[in-house]
Amino acid sequence: MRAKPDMRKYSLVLILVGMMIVCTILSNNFLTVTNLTNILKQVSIVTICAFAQGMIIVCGEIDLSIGYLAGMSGSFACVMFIATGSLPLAFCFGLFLGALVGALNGLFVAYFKLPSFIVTLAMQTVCFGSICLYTGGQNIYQIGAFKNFGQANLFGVIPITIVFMVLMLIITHIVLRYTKFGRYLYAIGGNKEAANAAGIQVCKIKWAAFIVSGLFAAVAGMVMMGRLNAGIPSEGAGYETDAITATVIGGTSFSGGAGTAFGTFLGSLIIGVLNNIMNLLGVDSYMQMIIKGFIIIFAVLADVLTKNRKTTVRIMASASDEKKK
Amino acid sequence: MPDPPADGGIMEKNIKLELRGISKSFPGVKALDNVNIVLRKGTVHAIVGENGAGKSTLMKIINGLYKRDKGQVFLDGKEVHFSGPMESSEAGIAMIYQELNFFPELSIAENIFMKRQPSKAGCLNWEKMMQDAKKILEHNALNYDPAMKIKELPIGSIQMLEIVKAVAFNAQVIIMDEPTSSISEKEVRMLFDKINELRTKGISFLYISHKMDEVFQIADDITVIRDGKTIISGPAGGFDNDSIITYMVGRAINNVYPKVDVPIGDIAFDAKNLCSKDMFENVSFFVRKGEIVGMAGLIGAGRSEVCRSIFGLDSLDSGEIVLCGKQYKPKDVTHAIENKILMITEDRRKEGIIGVRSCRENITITSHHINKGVIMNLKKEKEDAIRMSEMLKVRFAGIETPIGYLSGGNQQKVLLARWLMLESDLLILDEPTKGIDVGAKLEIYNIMIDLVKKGYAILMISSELPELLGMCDRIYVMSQGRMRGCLARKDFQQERIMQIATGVAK
Repeated sequence: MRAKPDMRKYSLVLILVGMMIVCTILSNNFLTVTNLTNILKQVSIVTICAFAQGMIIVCGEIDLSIGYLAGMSGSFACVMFIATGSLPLAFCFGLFLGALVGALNGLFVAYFKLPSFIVTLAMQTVCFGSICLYTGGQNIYQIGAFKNFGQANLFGVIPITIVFMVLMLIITHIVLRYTKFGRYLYAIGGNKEAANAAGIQVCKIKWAAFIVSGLFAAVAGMVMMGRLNAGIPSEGAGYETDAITATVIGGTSFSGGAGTAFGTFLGSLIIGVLNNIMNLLGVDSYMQMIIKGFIIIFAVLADVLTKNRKTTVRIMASASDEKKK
Repeated sequence: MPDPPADGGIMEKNIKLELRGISKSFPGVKALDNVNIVLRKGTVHAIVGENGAGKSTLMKIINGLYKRDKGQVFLDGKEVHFSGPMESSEAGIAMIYQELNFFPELSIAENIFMKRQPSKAGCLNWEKMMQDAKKILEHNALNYDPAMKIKELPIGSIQMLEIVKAVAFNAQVIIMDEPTSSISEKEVRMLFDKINELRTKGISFLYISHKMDEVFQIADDITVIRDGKTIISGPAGGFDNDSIITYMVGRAINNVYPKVDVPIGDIAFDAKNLCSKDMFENVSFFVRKGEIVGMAGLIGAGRSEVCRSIFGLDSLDSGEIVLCGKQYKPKDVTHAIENKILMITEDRRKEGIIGVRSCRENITITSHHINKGVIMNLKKEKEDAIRMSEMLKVRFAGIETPIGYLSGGNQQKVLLARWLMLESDLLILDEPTKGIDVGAKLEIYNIMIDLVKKGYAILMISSELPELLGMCDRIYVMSQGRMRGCLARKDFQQERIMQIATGVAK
């Protein structure tokens, strides 16, 4: 029983390695440094979004505003950079906006007990509307040095987007595994009432979780705009669902209470590799969508099937447990 | 109650249901091993055993939810194979689970006729359904409007309705799993009256229970199951309390309540005139260090509500609380924990365990409140959790086992471990031994005694009077939201407490 969550983690690694072996056989262009770096670059933004989504799903909620929030805070950060010329200031402004929207989401979900699905769905249009109101629906070009957030290389070799992704991976891992906050997220997602009765301030923690999610979305947004070398508000659309896909494939339980940063990371990589090989093989892009859709369903199916197995285990355990006396 | 036959000799034709040599294995575990039970027509047959003894598995084999590996089931002398609950209920076997199955938002009538709705031209015949439901209700002296939502009924009535429903649809055998675990004494009496009435009409009952006194009140025959085996089976007259417990656990428990006299210290907790709208009024009581104080009363007397409001789970309108000489005003649970008031809530599944998470996390979740710093020391956390679970003798596959996999008794021990990580001036235990087998109960009692020896002040709510009488130094009795009396240990008397709780005496 003890090895179960780890098994899941290893099974993801095995799937990824298996896929990579198959891909190497299928295409000569797959196993090259350039291509692998490309995959990492391509998945980096959605992975950052997925870390945010993962934390929210662990505590039993969902955040659909992530994509548009990324688009908004990224674009506003561009605006700020053009106005002031200061990268740190623009970055902080983006983070501030992310935290603000996250705080709003959290306020309604945690304190007013509204369903997070509805609140964050509504927040999508609020985000998109507010940036378009400011720009008049135009994209923001000539963002100058802001593009460094997405195009620079650390030490001249490591793409900055990958650096951001790894940084967020480490932060998420530490938060979920080593902090009380992370522990409370699992507890709340596992059993909200019990968490409350154990003295966990459920509202406060949930609120904080949405703020963290907003911050992550803002980082993703700024990296996104840097990569595009423009502030394009609509570009964030759809990232929230891709993020959900990655977390679910990564073994995060949709009912809350279970999921890890590395699982999400692997889930994201699996999708990235899949996308990449389909492109290399020239699979029709509409076909790709169909294939991806079914993969999500199979991932959830696998999750449900393992859960069913767990219930049979539980029936046995209650009997065997007493027997061990 | 009809007398059981003196010699236990059973005539073939009187046998309603017989289980012969039933065995069932789950991977790695033999849940049932050659179980034999003979249920005579028009009798109540009690099945007793510890949690995990195999009672529930047995019930599920009878109604077809599980497939038996070996053995035969005979109904009216004919061997039967049910593929599921639908088939067994058609054959006249009704099962009433411990957790009642009903649809809270639907009417009484709809609940009665679920899956059997009368229809007219392919549509639901509401009129007929309401009329029939009304007839059934009236026939059984249940004064409810069939259009009422079932969630508005007290739980005892819903249970009664289940029985009534079973009988209305021609059940000949009714299997009841722990039917009295969540109903009041009065409702228990109503339930027993109903069972007695139906028994004389030839309906047979399989009655699973932990509560010995009830078993002796109602059962004609008793079968004791231990570790999936039939230990002994026979007329109820051939057993007594001690012998059943001996058979159940396979060892004699000489002293069920390990009460030890501990020097009583200063007043740790003193509450005056606690009020909460529509819940309780002017409740005053105190608990001293080294004392186990009981709270007796019927379900709905307001005992849990008082304790929950002290712990900050529910609101408290007015009243004064002095905690170790200092004023205390409940705010929320975190505040209560900071003030060293701890509470194990009644509903373990709903408000206790975090089922999917490990025992380690379940134990240490509260201690985070008092440890400073944001980052946890995982090594120390694990050591603490292991130390606590060893101290309380929790049995599990390992500290990382999800708590949901544990038996009720072990879950409760993990929850105790959770709170014992912290310092406490008042420890409130709300039904600490509910749904726990005899052996684990004893272990919980021993833990309580160890705690008061260390100077803990314990406030215990329990619906099992013998438990309160056995463990407490003083017992407060509540009824209808008011504190009605307080008895010292030398004055303990079951009848007296019941009289106060029911409002017969002051």
